[in-house]
Amino acid sequence: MTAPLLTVENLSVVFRQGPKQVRAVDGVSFTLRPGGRLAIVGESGSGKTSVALALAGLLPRRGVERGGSIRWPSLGNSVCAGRDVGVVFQDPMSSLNPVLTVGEQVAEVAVTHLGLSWDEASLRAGELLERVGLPQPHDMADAYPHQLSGGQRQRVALAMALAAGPKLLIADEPTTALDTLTQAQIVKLLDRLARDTRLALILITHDLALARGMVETGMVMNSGRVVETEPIDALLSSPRHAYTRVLLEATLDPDAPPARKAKKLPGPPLLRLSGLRKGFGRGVRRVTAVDGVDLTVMKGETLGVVGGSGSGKTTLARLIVRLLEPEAGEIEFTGLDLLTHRGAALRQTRARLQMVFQDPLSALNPLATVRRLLSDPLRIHGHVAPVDREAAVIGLLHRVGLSPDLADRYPHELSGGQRQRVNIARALASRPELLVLDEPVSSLDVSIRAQILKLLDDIQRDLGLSYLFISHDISVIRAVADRVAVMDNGRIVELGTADAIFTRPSHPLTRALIDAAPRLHRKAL
Amino acid sequence: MRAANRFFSGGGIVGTMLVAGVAIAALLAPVVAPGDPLALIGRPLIEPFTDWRFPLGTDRLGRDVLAELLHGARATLIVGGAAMLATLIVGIVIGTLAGFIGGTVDEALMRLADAFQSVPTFILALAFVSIAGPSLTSVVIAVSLGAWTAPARVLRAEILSLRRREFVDAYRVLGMAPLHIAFREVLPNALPPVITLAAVIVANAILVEAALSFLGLGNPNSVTWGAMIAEGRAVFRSAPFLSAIPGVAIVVTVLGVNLLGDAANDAINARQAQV
Repeated sequence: MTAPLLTVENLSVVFRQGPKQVRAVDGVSFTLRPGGRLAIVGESGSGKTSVALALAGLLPRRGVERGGSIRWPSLGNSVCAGRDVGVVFQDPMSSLNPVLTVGEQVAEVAVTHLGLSWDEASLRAGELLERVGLPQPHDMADAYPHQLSGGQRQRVALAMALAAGPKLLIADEPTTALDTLTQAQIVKLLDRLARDTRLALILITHDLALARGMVETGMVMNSGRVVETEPIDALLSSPRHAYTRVLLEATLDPDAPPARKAKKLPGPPLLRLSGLRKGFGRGVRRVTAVDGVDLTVMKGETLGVVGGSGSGKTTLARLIVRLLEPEAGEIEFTGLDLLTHRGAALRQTRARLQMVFQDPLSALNPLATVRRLLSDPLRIHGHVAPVDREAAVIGLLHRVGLSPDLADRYPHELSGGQRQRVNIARALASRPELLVLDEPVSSLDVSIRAQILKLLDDIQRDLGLSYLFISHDISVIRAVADRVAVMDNGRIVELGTADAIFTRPSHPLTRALIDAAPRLHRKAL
Repeated sequence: MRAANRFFSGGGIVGTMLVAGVAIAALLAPVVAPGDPLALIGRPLIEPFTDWRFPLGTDRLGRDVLAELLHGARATLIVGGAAMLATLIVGIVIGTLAGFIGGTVDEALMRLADAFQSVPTFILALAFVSIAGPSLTSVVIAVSLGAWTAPARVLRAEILSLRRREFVDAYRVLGMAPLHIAFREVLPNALPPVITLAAVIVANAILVEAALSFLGLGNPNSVTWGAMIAEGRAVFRSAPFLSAIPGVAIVVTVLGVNLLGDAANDAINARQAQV
């Protein structure tokens, strides 16, 4: 039996701010053998990231108290973050330095920790960039972070983490900011690298399905405490703790039959797009984000739009709600030609066509209370008399399952799920017929995501709304859509009923998206 | 709570006391020194603290220095306050429009700001007052002419970054009028850095006013500290107190306003950190 790589005993992390203190981590213990792989699974506020920061020695010095012990029996006790422990964070854009080329950034790590000269380090950087699977690594070394795609940036961040030959890699939500296909590639890469170099891995994630394929042990955390630590297969097949079961049930399964059986098209058509086109930039730098899209949303249905990042989904949404003007094409809404509407006519139509945005915090004015946010649409569209507004606001809060007590709160005083409910309530306030939902659940925790999807379903049933539901996550689309449109490079590459798309995908991209989705169980062949 | 604590700490308290002192002096001027401060009421050049009727002495023409100082505080605060208001209103309107509308409007307004910034502030003020004639209003306008570009630029930058936030899109999708979104919803989010600029503008206005008065371009019918310094210059070697007393008053006021501005800045930062 070799000495463990890492022994954590009774770790606690307390953040202090004035008189307030928050116990982010409370009595966490575990061990990791050399080359071992552990996933720390939890939702936001579970303390999983604080554990990672404590291990990497990256906790802020002031205002933080750390208790318990972190020991590295097989490394001696002089462990250095960056040399012995590599870290990869969620957002590769903010973890890279925008004014250095990626080659310089990787080489810098080797110079600092291995004492190489710049020439040797540059060579090593080239090898590393090749190992993380960047195409043409020697040209890529001269690129700046903003010239790379999200997946490429995450590969660079990984190369930096590995540059000094660490014994442990901590990956904190390494794929959360990426789309499904890129996520699958990064997962595969992490797996290969860890195996090749006998690197121990700690994966911090909210996604049990993602953990399944990558680690041997799963540790579930909730409110700073460890709920249970089990071999990952046992954890998934026979969870002992109620909280683990909640997480499991909230995880969407991409192989389950589509939630909605294709009804006979409810019709009539509510929204019809034809030949819609929109590009950005000029000349050689021009990108056609939406390139001739024809699409129809029927009354009462949910049309799911799925695609990778950069496929034009969000531009499509913004064209429909007239945040952007198309270059060509037509938008017909309830038989009206939407693009000819201006001024008062446009305002009237807007009431019937609303949008829910991706980032629930950014979509709410930080200086407005919930009451004011929900009164705005009532005031603008004037379909509720001023004396009845208060009652209408309370009604909207009830409708989205929020307590009327929240009416005087500001957005920063709400939880993520509550914020998205306020966004939905605001979109409902003008009594729309169509809601454009742009990634409405991507920034939410899995258990909250399940609640919001249920809420959207209830609202649709009660009010007979139509949804255009945009997501990069095929499992989410499977759970909500009657019909599915798959987008790539600004075009619709496949369109069909959810049943047809999921059981008989015909386009290679559709198949790739379905295959790439993380699964709780091995895919049945 | 924490923001308030941050405000009333050290510099904030001193700044508040200094500015409050000047304000009280300005308010009490008609009570302590009734009548025209420019009246010739005593023997010229009485040294301070030698005659109880004129605690701070008299000037070359036999005017009461204390009365001049207190009445001067009024003029100083009025100029500082009015110049700040005028500067902020112009700067906020132009900065918000430039940042929110963007495109040609932004270009035009910012080139206008460049034009104003390319002339030294004081020369601009000097030129304006010598054309418009010396009066309180023209001094206020003269100060604002050179100062509006700072809040306009700061605000434009803030609005440019806020404009990309999804809540602005959400308001547009709701059908809210663009000007309403810009001024009622986005602007309040952009104000904190401009509020801290306000103190700098007040301090600068006081200094410019003093300098204009020193050059004889202030309002001849009201006492100001700058005019007092200019008046004392002729006898600076025999009676330095005539220039020193209003000089100290200017230093104290500008220091107080700056301390207040710094404290406001800290308080706003603490509040934003909480949000």
